[in-house]
Amino acid sequence: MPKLPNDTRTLLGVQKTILFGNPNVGKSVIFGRLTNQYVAVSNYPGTTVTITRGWMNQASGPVLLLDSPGINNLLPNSEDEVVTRNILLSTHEADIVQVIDAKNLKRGLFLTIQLSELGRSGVVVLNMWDEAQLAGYTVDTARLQQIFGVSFLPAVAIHNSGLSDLRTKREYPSFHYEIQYPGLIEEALKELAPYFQGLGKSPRGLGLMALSGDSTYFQFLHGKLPAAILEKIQAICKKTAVAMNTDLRQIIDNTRMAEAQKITNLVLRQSYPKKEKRIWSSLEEISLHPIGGFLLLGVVLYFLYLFVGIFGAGTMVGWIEESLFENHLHPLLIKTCDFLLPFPHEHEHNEGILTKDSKVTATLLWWQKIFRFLHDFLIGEYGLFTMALTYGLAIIFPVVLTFFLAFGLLEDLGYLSRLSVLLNQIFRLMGLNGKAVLPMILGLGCDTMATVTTRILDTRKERIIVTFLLALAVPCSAQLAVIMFLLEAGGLGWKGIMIWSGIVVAIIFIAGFLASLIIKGEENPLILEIPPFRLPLLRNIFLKTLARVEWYLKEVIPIFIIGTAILFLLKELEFLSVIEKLLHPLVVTWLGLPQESASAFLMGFFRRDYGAAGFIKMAQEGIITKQQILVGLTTITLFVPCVANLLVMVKERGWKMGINMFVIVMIIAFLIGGILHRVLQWFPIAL
Amino acid sequence: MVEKTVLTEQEEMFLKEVWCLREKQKNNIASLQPIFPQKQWVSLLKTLSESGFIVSSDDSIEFTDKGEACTQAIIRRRRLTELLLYNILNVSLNISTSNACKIEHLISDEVTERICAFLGHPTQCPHGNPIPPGHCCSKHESVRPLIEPLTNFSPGEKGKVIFIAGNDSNRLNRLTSLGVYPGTVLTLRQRKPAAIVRVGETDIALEPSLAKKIYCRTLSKQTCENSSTLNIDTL
Repeated sequence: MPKLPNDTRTLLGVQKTILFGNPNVGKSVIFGRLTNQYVAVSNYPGTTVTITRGWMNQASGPVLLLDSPGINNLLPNSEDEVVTRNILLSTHEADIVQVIDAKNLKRGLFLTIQLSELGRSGVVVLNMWDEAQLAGYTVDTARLQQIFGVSFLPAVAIHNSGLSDLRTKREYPSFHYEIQYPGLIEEALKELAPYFQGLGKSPRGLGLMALSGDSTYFQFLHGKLPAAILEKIQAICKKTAVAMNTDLRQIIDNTRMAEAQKITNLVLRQSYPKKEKRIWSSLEEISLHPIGGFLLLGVVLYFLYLFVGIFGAGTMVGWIEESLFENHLHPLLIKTCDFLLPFPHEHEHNEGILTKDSKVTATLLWWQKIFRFLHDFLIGEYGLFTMALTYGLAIIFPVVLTFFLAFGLLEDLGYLSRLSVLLNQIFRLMGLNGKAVLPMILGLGCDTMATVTTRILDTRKERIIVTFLLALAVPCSAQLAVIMFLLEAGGLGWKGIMIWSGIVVAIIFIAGFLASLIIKGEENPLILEIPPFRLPLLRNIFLKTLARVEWYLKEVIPIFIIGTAILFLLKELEFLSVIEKLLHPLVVTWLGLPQESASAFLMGFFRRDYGAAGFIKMAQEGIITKQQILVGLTTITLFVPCVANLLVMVKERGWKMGINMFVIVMIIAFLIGGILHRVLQWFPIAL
Repeated sequence: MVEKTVLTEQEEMFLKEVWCLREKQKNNIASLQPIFPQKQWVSLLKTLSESGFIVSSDDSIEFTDKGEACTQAIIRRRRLTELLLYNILNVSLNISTSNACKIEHLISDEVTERICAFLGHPTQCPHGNPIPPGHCCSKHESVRPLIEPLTNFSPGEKGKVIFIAGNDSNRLNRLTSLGVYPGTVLTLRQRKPAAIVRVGETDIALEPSLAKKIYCRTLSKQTCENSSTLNIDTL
């Protein structure tokens, strides 16, 4: 199997197949099944926001399979839909595997009609066939095949059934189905046809895209067609719009939808009414109820706290950090290092157990100095094993693991979209609507990935506000882990958690409210598809958690190691005290923290969770009070999450806005920290 | 004497004017004189009296029972038409009045009832005059207007989308792509905190302010259509 280059331009000539369809119909499941490669699969629209590529073995050789973000219309309404439309148009030789939710046939056929007009070739998968049958639906696939000229394959992708044809078949026929538009549109299409020759298989479909007046399509054409021709196309579109004296896009949409309805009436039968599963449907109802929904949310959060906060951050960290790392692993590593790198020094003992703290007992020779350097680099105060890996694997990892397990369960159940409905009114105050709840909650997993997910939002204003709030105040799983651990270890308990989360939530709303006043943009009412509750598959939750844990190990741990190495070098070069002096006014005078916390803030610039972890050391050494822990943690929570997040911010929102956001976030973080320090001085809360 | 049942446009106008004058308690010949030319009103008065619609004396013109019922229907048609033009089609008051004057003679009883239901069985015309109630208004279960915003539906109720108000095409496009467009049959599942409608097998959450703009005809007992054979001709 050839290795996959990131740049698809080098893949010219390779056979390509695009997975395409409405959101939340199971494209990613099929992608995973066909490529044996894991991609995130969840029960909410918008899980996939970028194109994923993978190889699929077929009789004729390897085929490049592309998983595209879900789309409801090839005339796009959001950024992720633009992504799919563009990939579809720029690879016009590729076959299409359209995935349709069998019970939502009409919405699928609306897209099939558009594929026909583009003259694409491919096959249609009628997924969730089991759910459709349970709801009493039967679909006349033979008739559909006759109408569109391509195969319609019933499938249940999550159980890997009905997909074998996709693995073997190769020569796909073309979708052929043509519908008649009002006369003026048909005339304009004839007039437009010559200009689109060579751009795609069928000028008709492209002409319709132009006629709909979709500005993103003209952006797409820019550079592909000479300016003079583009002008001519635009002139024809304008002329037709004026002649029709109405919104052409609506006419095109409505004609297609009416046609999809007509075909659906022909092939879809509901032989008996849906058998509602009592528990599911009443749970669905409660989860959306104005009062019951919040009660259920409270219950969910409580269980989340029990599982992640108590079991993960308490019990599991206890096993791994204390029993495994401190009592067994550390002494073993220290002994090994001392054996391999001998120099005169003594380690302190704590209740009979060897600890990393050591003192040099004699003047060192030059080679002993090198040994000491290596010794400290590996197991010293800022040691690779004793600090970076201990934080990463013993303290954060258990919490991240339990969080991802619980989060995966909620995702697959279909719970997350329901929060959009519950919190819609509150989000309105921040110039957002309930749809923005999704990226914000995903931010609890990873802010960087959530920033990319802002593409599902409809307006620029919403995308900017959510990107900003993610960068400012939504703690990611790794950071939650440190905070939970620290609040627990620092003796602040649930009271500390309540105060800290109260402050963070308040800041999110105040910042969101102010941002909505500053950033211009129209109000955008909520229109969101809510997936049904589905019984989560343990296999999928397991795979998803595994993939996320892999991400954690690959992305977070290396930065911990690099960060620790930098700290170690700074200390060796005696630079750390210089930085502590430089940051003295900010850290000691303004925030009222011990000057050692300067290094924590320094690391907070790389990853804020690592910065927060810096406080663990101080808490363990007992040089920081509970109030100071709270001030420090709150300040660092408001830092930009990590370097990767900053880069994604710049990539999605542009240099200027990315840097501006970074500066504003930093100012707010220190401002709030200082205010909190003073408030705690005046009104000391018994923590 | 031949029983007269079909009235000419002029005769209808005459009866209507008498009704309006009676509302002001000026239903006498002196008040009628400036409205119609001399020759015309004399002959109209004569024919209508002869065919048993009105009884006239020197100081007043009164309706017979037959005339009362007939004129009530005319007035009802007229004022409902005015309201339709003025409120729904947003036509100016003057044009509403003059056009209603022409349309009123053409519409049948059935159409009148539908307009009445569509407007929600109103009681006043745009000028503020009372609209006489018809049969449809007294039927208890159909006092609801024929078409109303989705937000007036109760959870579990089924409706057919008739039109979506507002001219934000982006919003309309998104709704269309999800399957909500004129002609669709949908079920309201809940109203708060956000409206949730089911179209086919898809649940869609909608901002309440947006749901208010989706006008639907309820598909309850009377007007029920077989939802499995969706009617798309209305598109």
